[in-house]
Amino acid sequence: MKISPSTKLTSFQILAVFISLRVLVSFSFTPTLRLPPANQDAWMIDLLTGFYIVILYIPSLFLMNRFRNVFFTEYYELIVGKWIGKILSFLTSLYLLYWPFFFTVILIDFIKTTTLTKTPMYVIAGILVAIGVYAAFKGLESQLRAAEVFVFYIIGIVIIFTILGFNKMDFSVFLPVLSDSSFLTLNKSALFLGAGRFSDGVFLLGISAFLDKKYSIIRCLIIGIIVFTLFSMLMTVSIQAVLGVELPKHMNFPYFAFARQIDAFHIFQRIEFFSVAAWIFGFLFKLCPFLTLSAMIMKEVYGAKSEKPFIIPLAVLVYILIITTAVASNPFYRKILFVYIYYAINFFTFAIPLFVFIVYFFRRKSIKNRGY
Amino acid sequence: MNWGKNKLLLLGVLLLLPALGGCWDSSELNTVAITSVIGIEQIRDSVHLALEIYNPAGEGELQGTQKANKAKYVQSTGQSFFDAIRNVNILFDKKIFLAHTKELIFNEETAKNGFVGLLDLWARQHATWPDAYLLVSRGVRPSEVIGVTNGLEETSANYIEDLIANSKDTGKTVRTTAFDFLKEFYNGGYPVVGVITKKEKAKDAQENSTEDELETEGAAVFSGQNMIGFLNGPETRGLNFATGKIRSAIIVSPSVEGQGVNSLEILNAGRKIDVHMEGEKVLFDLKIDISAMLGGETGRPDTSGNPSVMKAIAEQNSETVRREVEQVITKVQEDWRTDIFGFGQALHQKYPDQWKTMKNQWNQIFPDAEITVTVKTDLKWQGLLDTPLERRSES
Repeated sequence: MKISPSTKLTSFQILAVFISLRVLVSFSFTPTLRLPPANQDAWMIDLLTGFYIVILYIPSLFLMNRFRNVFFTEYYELIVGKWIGKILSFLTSLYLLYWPFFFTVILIDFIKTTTLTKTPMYVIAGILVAIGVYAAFKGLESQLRAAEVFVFYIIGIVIIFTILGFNKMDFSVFLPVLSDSSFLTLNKSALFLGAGRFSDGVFLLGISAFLDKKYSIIRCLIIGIIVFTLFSMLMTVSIQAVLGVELPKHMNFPYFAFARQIDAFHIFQRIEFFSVAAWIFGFLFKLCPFLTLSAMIMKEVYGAKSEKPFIIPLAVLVYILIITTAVASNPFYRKILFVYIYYAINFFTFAIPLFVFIVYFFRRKSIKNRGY
Repeated sequence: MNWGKNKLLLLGVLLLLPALGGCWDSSELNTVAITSVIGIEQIRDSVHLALEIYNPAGEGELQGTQKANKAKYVQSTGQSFFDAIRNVNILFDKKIFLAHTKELIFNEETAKNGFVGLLDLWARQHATWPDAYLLVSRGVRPSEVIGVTNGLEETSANYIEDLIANSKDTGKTVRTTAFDFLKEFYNGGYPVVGVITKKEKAKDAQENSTEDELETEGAAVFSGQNMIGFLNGPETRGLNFATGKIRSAIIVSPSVEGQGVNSLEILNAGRKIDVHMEGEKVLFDLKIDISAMLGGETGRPDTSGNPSVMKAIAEQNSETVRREVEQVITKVQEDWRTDIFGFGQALHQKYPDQWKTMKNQWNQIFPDAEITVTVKTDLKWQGLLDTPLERRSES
């Protein structure tokens, strides 16, 4: 795929979308609070996760650096052969669609239970997916330009809410440190979470081709990890300091529950909708660029001239998945889509770049001879 | 953009306009009844509710010659809390809107049997407010409390809210919200909830007739989800000192010289718990630091430029507070054997390994724990007088 000079992304745009995507997870269901040991040391899981992301990311990072400004579908085909490369790219495209589906279902769960209880689910899902389609037609660059603006709102909300909630925080809940949990348990959870967070790594693998050559991918990733680790920790600490350790484990949307508790000077209260707005902005970056990138991969797989014909069919696929999940009363079906597939696709997303990375080392001379 | 596209855009905007009028989930003000306080009783298998609802027509408008009441009162019954709320609409025309409910009042019996199951609705529903105060109505049904106003406020909810808010000046009650209760309950602590009682008082100076007033002095103590007893006003103040929740109070002690008493205003108070273990025995040092001002003196101490007298008054205050705190600790240890003060948390923080084995038997260990209370008062100010008036009158 030829990267057009007009579609260059800056490192800040990539950084902004990366941070927004990660902070979204803490806005929605804050998995850190429930992962073992699920106690006052939860913030350490956030801290350790960055380390595991870097480790899991090594194969992708190497490939991205080795093939600067080359779309990954192209070098996948170059390294592992045309057909296997196309299959791997196709799987990656479907994988990228899973996340808009996953986070749309969570957001709909929230919207249905808190705001639009009577609005039919298919209408909410339709509006959300339509936004994704519209943004996908506008292109990746426009979406990432929006991220440049919205990231300040998202992290601003985290900072402001932490300050406003400070009067209700009890930091003694974090004591004793590391006494009720083992370092091994914390690391296991960090690895699990790192694998989950690696989903955005696959997204980065795709958009890194558009990163202007003057910026370093490694630097971009490291800064991103540091920033989102800091903000994820801040959100975990805020939730536990205000809600305690046990209560948030039983809440579907812990950060929302924390936001409802804010009452500073009797003026700043009932302001949780600002955090919901931040959540929705973060969600849009999970929906729109993922859908766009998925369509771009399909375009490469099928050798089409434009990604636009793929946008609507892929969006419809996401929509159907959302609707069937929501209407399916069989808990096993939900378990397949939210638990078993989650494990399986995490394996695929780590295994595919690793496989390509290993094959590259066997075929590096022939690849070099072909001018790469 | 050409004219054709502009027309299409305009058409699109015009088509969208009707959608701006509202949504599926709109709740218009004229269709809802905003509840301000809810009384809840679980009687066998049914839940009885008494609700106070704001009456928008009562806001300053005249109906004929008489001003409309600011609140309406309604009762309902259901198989569950939720069912009872919905059943209100069998009797009442507007749909109940819970988001501005300021207090939830449970009767004693419901509190004794536990109301966590009833609070589930409050924590689960988005249209409720987690910071509604929880109260236990002592000796009366919640429906007898709701409707009573005796302050300047014209609704029970606002009247009770102000009474609870006043606890910051007396320390003789507690301010526990539904959220505070659940947080404490989930974290394995022992929640303490506010109490409300109804009293009769003379309506006028001639005492020809009586009227009701409400009192929020004291606290209801819970073990798990069940209420196990009440604390009176001074005991509640002792509890607030022991838990570091006191914001202000007036402590009255015998004067250090002559007949009379001194009244110190607590400006600030903090607490610290030190834990030591001697073998199997657990020793706690509860240290309370108070910053105070001399607010009144009916005795004859020479407070003018006499540091030793000021020190003696401060020590007298410390002694009064110490006795109050010790009394409540002894009562809780002996009568209820429940750690409502958070000593277990301090032990957990300092001796995490030992806590793992003691955690499940803490209610057996706590009553035998040795707790030493030390109170230090820093008497900083004495107001606009340097000598008690009593001393001047006799000189």
